[in-house]
Amino acid sequence: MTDKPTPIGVSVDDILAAMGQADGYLDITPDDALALYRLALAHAVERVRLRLTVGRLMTREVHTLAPETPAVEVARMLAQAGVSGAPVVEGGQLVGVVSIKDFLPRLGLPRQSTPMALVAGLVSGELCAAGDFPGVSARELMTSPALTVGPDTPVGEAAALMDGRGINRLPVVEVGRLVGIITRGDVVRASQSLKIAE
Amino acid sequence: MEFFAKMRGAGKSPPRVRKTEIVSSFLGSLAGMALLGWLHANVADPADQVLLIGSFAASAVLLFAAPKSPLAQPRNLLGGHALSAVIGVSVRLALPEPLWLSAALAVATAIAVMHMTKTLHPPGGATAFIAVTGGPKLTALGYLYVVSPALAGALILLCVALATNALTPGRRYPEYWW
Repeated sequence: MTDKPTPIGVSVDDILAAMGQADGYLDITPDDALALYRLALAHAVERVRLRLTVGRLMTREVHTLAPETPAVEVARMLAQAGVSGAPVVEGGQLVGVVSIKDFLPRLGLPRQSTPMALVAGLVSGELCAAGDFPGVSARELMTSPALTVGPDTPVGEAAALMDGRGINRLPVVEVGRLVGIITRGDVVRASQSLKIAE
Repeated sequence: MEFFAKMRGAGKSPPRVRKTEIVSSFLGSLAGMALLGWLHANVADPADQVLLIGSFAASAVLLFAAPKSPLAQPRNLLGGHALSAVIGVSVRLALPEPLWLSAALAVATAIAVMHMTKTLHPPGGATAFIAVTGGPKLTALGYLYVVSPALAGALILLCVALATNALTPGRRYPEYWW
C-alpha cells in the first residue's frame, strides 16, 4: 500500500516474527499487516504532533528583565540564572528580548559570533573586556520587536522558527502578555518523549 | 507491463501456526461437523429434512481454524448464510434456466450483498450456489431453505465453536458478536 519509510524501521521480517508469536491464524498477509502498522503509526505521530503545542512545553516561570536594568546588571542576572537570554517586560507587556547576541556588537564582534569567538577575543587580548556599556540599559540593548509565538502554536512550527532565525528561545505571548518561554532545550526534550511514544 | 507486474506476488507468506493450534483446529472442526452430521442423520433425515450442506464444511474451516478472522465472526456466519440463502432461493425462482447463469448470478449477488451488509462469509457463496444447484430435495423447500439448513446449521456450528474455543487455552471466540 505504501513504501514510505518510517522513523522506526519495522520490516516485514519483524511482522513475520510478531505473527509467529501471536496465537492462532491471522487472516492478514505480512505485507498488509506492515502497511496497516505504518498507516496507524503515521496517524499516531500526526495526532501527537498536532496535540503538542508550545503551551504544553513552555517554561512558565520566566526570568524577565525590566527595561531600565543597566547592561552590567543584565549580564550578571542572565549569568546567575544560567540562561543566555531573557525577555524584557514593561507592565506585563513584552517589549523585547536581550540575548548574548545583543552584547557582542558592543564588544567589537559581529552579532552572529559564537561564544567561543568571545572567549578567543578575550584570551588573545584583542577585545576590550569592559566593552562599551556605560549608561546602557536593557532597553538600548534589546532586540525589539521580538519574534514571539502563542501558546497554541505547534511545537514543530516554533522549532522551525528558532532554526530558521538562528535563535535559542521564543517568548510565548498571549494577547500581548508574556505567559512563558520556549527554548531549544524544551524542543529537544519533547522530541525525546515523542520517540518513546512511537 | 503493469498487468503482469501485478501477478508477481512479491510479498512473503505468513508463518505456519503452532502444533497446538493444529490440534485445536482438528478437534473443534471434528466436534462441529460430527454434531451437524449426527443431527442430520438422526433428526433431519428421518423427517425428510436436510441439515448437512457443503457450505458448512467451509464454515468449519473459518470457525475452528481461523476464529480471529473477521470472516468467522457470528455476524458474518449467521448473516452470510441467511442472506446468501435468501438470494440463492430468489435467484432460482426468478431465473431457473440456464443453470450455469443462475448459479453464477446467485453467488455474485450473495457476495455483493454480504459486502454491503458487512457479513462477508465465504461459505455463504456456497450456500447461495447450493440453493440453485442442490437438487429436488432442497428446491422443494422454497424459502424454508433459509431457516433450515442455512440458519439452523450455522447456529449449530456457532454453538460448537463457542464451546470448543472457550475450552481451548489461548483461544477465544468470538472477537465481537455484531
